Amino acid sequence: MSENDPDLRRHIETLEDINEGLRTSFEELAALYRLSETISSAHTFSRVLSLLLEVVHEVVAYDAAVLYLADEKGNMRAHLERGLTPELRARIDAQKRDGLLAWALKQGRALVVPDSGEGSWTQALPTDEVRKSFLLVPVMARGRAVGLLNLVVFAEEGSFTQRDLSLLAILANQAGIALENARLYDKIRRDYFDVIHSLAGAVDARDHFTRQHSNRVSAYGTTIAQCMQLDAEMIESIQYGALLHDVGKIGISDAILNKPSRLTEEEFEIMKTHCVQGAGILKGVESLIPLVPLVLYHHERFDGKGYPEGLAGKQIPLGARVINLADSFETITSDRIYHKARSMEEGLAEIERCSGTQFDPEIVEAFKSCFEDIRAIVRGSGGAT
Amino acid sequence: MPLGHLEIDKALARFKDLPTLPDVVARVMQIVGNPLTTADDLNQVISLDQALTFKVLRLANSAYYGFPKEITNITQAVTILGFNTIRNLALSVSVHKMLFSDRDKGLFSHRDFWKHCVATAVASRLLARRVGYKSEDNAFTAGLLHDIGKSLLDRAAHEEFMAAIQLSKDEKLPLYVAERRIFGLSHADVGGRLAEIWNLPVDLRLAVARHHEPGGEGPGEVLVAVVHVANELCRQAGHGASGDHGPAEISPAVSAILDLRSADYEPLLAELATQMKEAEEFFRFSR
Repeated sequence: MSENDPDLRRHIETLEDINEGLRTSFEELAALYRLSETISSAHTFSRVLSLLLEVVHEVVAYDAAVLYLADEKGNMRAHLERGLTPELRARIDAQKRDGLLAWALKQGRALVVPDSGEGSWTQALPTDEVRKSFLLVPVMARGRAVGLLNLVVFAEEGSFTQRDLSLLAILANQAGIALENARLYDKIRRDYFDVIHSLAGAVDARDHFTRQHSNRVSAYGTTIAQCMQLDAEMIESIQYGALLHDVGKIGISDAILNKPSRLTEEEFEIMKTHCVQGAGILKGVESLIPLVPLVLYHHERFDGKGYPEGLAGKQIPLGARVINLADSFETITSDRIYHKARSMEEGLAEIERCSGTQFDPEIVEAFKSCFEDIRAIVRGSGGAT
Repeated sequence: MPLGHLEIDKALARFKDLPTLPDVVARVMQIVGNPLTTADDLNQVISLDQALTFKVLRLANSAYYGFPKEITNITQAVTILGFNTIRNLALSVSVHKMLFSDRDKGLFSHRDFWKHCVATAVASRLLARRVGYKSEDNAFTAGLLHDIGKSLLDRAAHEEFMAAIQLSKDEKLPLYVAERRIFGLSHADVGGRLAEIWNLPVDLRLAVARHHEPGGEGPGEVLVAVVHVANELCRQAGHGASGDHGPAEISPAVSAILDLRSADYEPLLAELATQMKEAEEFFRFSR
């Protein structure tokens, strides 16, 4: 066979065509993979939505866009808008009235509707006006439409390819799954917070003298932690550990917990068990386990004279040291059965006096530097003055 | 077992001129296979055939698709209903024109037969949605074309085909079994080969060839099973008549392929009855 053999030449051409096609498909797959990775990497609802609008622009360079999301009743509400003019808004409103958006949602695939002008769409548009197309892309999650993307493109509807439409549909579906995940994640977090607040509320409900105590300790602890520039995760565990620090008091009898006079030594020993009891309660909930050391050790002292284990210095978890200080300050500056509330300044002086004995000096320093913020919290919550 | 190529071609040799797809439709099949085809491209091809354009637009505007505004040209039909839908409508219109008549008498009424085909199409689409098959549109078309082999047998060897139907009726035999006794092959064998000659998409071909024998292996089996179930359901519900007098039974092999319970069938049949009214435009293909 020679190079001039027509059969051979034809075969070579066919092979080259196939090769070219493969290369193009590969590039498209790579791009699609990159774009869907981008969408899946978003963890919050709003991030998924804005990324979808960004990523879709790489497939079809739209001139304006609206992203609708279904509310609890399944009605679509505009959530994000880009580049909408009043004139475009009027067209989209007309599409909504005409039932086009609802129809597109039922299809569950991407489609293009032509510009109908203000009136009937068989009516010829003025020739000097730029032709617009509207790409309607349902955002699907588990077979259900959770949103709809309306992309306005200044181009004739006939110029779109099958590939444009299927890429848009794939990306919108990726976003749909990411949205569902973000929704579930938010729900789990909300449940987590609700459980913590309701546990904290259970303690406050039993202990009449310390109503709002947990909330305030949490606010002080969080402020100190922020001032120390701890990482976000640590700040959050101090916030919630402080809310729950006294949860073990649920297991202390009423006679001791609400006794209107000083506790006997024996009673005080029982009272001290609230740390261990609290840790025991939290241990049963997996997502609360990180808070266990904070609750267990919030009565340890820097000099090692605290309870339940007599840990000293940096042996005591940082979060527990912060909560210990916040707890003490809150107690000093509030009314208790055996003492009257002392002023903020007196409280600060007492904290400073115990620096290095009860408290970690570094935390005392941080407390001093954010004292004005603490004062603001107290004013805001109508507590001690 | 479905027959092999050689056996089918040997048995088919007696039917001389197998119908070929019109150039326009063949071209449509080809360009829709290319993802870079635009709606304008498809419009240019279909618009060459005015009668086809007219019929496709009439179907696109039918209650079955229920689009709330009037679709006035093929480009719009493509961007709104999708490339595959328009390809499949063009295909269905010309297959109907080639292979079906208005004959309404005798053992095998074409009118009732076409009704059976439309019902199977509608049911296939419903099933495809229910089981999450990737293309509801191909399911519709596979349902519509699943029995094209019968039209071909009727056209090429009317007397023998009538004998096959009579045999099915007398002995309560599945028609495809009776056909194999008489012709050495069945309408499914013939239809599958025709779909291959016409270059129909692979899943469609397989569904036509194997709709009486589901339960093989491979990705095409879902559509085979969908069309099988749709066909038997339509026969049980009495939508149209397929010429088959054997028992209308769903093969147990289906349960391994489709996640369907018998409780799913009742709502499906109700929906089918509703959609059959909306699909009325499909009965007026020939006019």
